[in-house]
Amino acid sequence: MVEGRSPAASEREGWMEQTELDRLKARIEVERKNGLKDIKFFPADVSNATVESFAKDVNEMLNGKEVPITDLD
Amino acid sequence: MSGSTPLIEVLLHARSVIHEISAGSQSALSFPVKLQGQILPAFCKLMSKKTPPEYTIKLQKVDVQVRSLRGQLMRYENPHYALIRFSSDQSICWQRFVICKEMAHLVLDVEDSHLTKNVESHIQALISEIRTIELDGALESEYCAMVLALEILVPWKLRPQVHVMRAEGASDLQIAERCRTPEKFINLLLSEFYQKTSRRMNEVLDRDIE
Repeated sequence: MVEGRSPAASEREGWMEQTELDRLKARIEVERKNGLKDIKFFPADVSNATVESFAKDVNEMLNGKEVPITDLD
Repeated sequence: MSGSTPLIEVLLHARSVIHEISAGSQSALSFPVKLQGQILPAFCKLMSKKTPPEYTIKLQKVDVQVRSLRGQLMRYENPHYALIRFSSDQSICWQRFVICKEMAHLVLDVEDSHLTKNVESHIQALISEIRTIELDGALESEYCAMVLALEILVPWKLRPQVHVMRAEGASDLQIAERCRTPEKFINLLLSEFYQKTSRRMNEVLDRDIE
């Protein structure tokens, strides 16, 4: 939400900030157009997770910096 | 449950992967089973038979610290390939298990009901503590994929070595280190229930081969 703007005001104006879940859904839509057939996750600690916090973690992984793979054998 | 994969089929898939490793690898099957040198090429070969000419599996290690997620699989068609991202913020044992489990989805999830259609409900099912309710067909495949990953990283063929290690006094952690598999899954492997079930089904498959 934009600072100083109440949720009610944002709604009245027909404008709401995009949530992490919205961002993830939008990304998946784009990927589906690129041939994405399926997406799966390996959850870690989800004891306090919500759909929104999980979506945030997924987005961070999708946009995270790739590093060299070492010693998996 | 609709669309579920019987355990015996999961074990058959594990044997297919191990067979490809034994047939195609330069080095013999031993602990730790090589993830990039043996398991990854075996999955690529199996998937290439299903969707010729060549199936590729790309691995991406991501520098990210997130609490709720170890890794993810994105599976594409036309062209057919898979992209597995995994967090660098976990042990090598966990990285290997996460990759192996995500690869397991490629051979297990052949039915439409296994595919994630609605990401929101799938996440809701994953984070929910309510495991007994069928919230999402894709959730069922999560458990099968974990068993398949375990049966590949600690194959039935090498299971006697695990029992020798145990008989010689090795702890679950020491066995986990030898197999480069998370201790949590060695706990499961060595549980009475898992040992009994895995032995019974694998012995049925051994008899069928003979």
